[in-house]
Amino acid sequence: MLKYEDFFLLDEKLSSEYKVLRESVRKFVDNEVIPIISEYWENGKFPRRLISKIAELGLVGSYMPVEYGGGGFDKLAYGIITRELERGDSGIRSFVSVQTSLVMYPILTFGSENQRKKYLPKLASCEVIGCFGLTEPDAGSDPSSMKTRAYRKGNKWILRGTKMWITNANISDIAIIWAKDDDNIIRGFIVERDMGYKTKEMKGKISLRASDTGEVILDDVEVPEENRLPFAEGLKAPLMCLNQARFGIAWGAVGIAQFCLETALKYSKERIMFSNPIASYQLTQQKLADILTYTQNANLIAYRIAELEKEGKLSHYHISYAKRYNVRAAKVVSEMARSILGANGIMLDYHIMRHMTNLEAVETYEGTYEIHTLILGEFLTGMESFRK
Amino acid sequence: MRILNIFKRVPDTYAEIKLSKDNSDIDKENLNYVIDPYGEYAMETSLRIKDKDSSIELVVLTIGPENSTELLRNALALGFDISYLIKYENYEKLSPLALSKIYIKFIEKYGPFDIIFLPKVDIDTNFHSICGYLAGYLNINFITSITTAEIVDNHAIVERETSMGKEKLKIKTPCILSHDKAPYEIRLASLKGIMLSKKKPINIIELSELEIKIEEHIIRNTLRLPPQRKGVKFLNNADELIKVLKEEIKIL
Repeated sequence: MLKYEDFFLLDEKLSSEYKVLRESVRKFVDNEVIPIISEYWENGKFPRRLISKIAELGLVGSYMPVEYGGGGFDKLAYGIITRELERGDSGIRSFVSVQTSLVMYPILTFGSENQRKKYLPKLASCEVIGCFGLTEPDAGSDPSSMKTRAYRKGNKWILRGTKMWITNANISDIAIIWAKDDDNIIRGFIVERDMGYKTKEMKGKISLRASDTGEVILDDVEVPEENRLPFAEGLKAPLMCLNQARFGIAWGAVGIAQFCLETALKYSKERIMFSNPIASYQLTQQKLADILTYTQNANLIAYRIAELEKEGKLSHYHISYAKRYNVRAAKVVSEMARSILGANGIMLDYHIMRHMTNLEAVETYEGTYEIHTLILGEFLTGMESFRK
Repeated sequence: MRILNIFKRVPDTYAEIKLSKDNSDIDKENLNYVIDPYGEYAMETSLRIKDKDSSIELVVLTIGPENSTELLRNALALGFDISYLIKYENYEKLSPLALSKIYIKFIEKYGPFDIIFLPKVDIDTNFHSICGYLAGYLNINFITSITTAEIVDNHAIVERETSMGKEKLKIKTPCILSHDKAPYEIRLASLKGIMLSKKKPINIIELSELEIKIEEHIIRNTLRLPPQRKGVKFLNNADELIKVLKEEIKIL
């Protein structure tokens, strides 16, 4: 019999390892994330106590090679992990996304062998927490306009500038910093906390409240040449990192949509109004049908990008398509689920509105909805419309 | 040292149970199957024993349809070394005696084992006699409903809870232990464990290989769901209560 959770029978495509992984992460989220997350979210704190368990389960660095402490799995495993984690909270998924795709990935891809050996195993075990400094107060969607500079001084570099909206900033031990050199070429650096970068918590967020967000201030921080990522040159390098993370976001959004679908369906069957369950009314059924459709569409896209990645056919256009559609789908789903839950929908206890507000940030970071729209526009027309 | 854990494949304990159309069975089509919860605790105890002595070999066994291998994959990912599935579609129709006979054949062929762990009760059928049957056939000692176990020099030190309090017992190996709820959390499969499990065998055994003939003893005629609870009635005072007990429920 057809189950709404697995409407397109995608489970049949999963081998038992991936099912064990899904169950394992789902149990972790059900038992250890969901019961505590609302309180952390309300207090605007990242639940650091979860880090050791996340590391123990191997959820960081899942697609990094085993020799560097990674999980040795593929992107499908990463997708499943991010989907299940975001079912709990976008902040928890963001922590894993940043550590894996924005810190480990650039060191693996653009780093020297020494850098890989030195940092990757400790990042995988979360002994070292990293953050990714690309965005600046005045450089968001247009990162090439960044003002952070890297001045060469003999065998050292002097970094000067401020990064903003940086996930994991305040809890970080290292920061991957992107800065322009004297020739205006963007370079990447592994900057250790001891080298002197400062961080400042960004307070007052009404989204991603259970995530650590901060500024990274580089006030003439001296970084040795050996900490420059030798194979990163130009904007392409940080954009490649973002594409890894966007893959996980596209999957993560499905986790939220699935959670909202389950919650709204269960609630509507139990909630009696005018003597009948609200699930029996046409207005509710229309919402539920829409929720199912958006959720399953997003899930199909997520699976397909994992397949294309495996076949080596995944283009950044697919990733823009998936990030753009899936996050918007999750947003629409969370809004409809919120309305099915009525007044209860606004309460933290029911989790829906926490997801709904988180998605505002998720739709904005890692390429806004609008930027991904323009990327698809450029794909279709061959005409770039980012700048006038 | 070798430890065998036998678990039962059972419907997800959180699943909403529906009956089949002719009421002869539960509707299995939409059910998610899991490792039985007591079997899970027993597995955790075995893994804790292995944490202290990695030379111990952990073997896990279950009976069921071919897709039970997914549950065995989970056991291997947790740290079990070898897994066996005795393939039998209608295993839910087997009496505890029939199941015991199958397990004994397995133990004779793939044993010996120093400790055999079982769930204290099969939560699907509510039978709990397999532990005794196995001990009788194999002529070894057994203790039921243990909560923890440790190994000290060819003995198992086990704890169990009774109405008089906790008791600690020592039993010589080989022995059979049926497991109750343990006081600790059950570990989850890590990515590393899942990766390692890919290299570990899942052996599928046909019943014919065990040279045993089995009858399906359990015939379910009709199943009924428990009656739906009626609504709650709020009473304002003791007089009203007495009136209801006298006139409506008629027990006074």
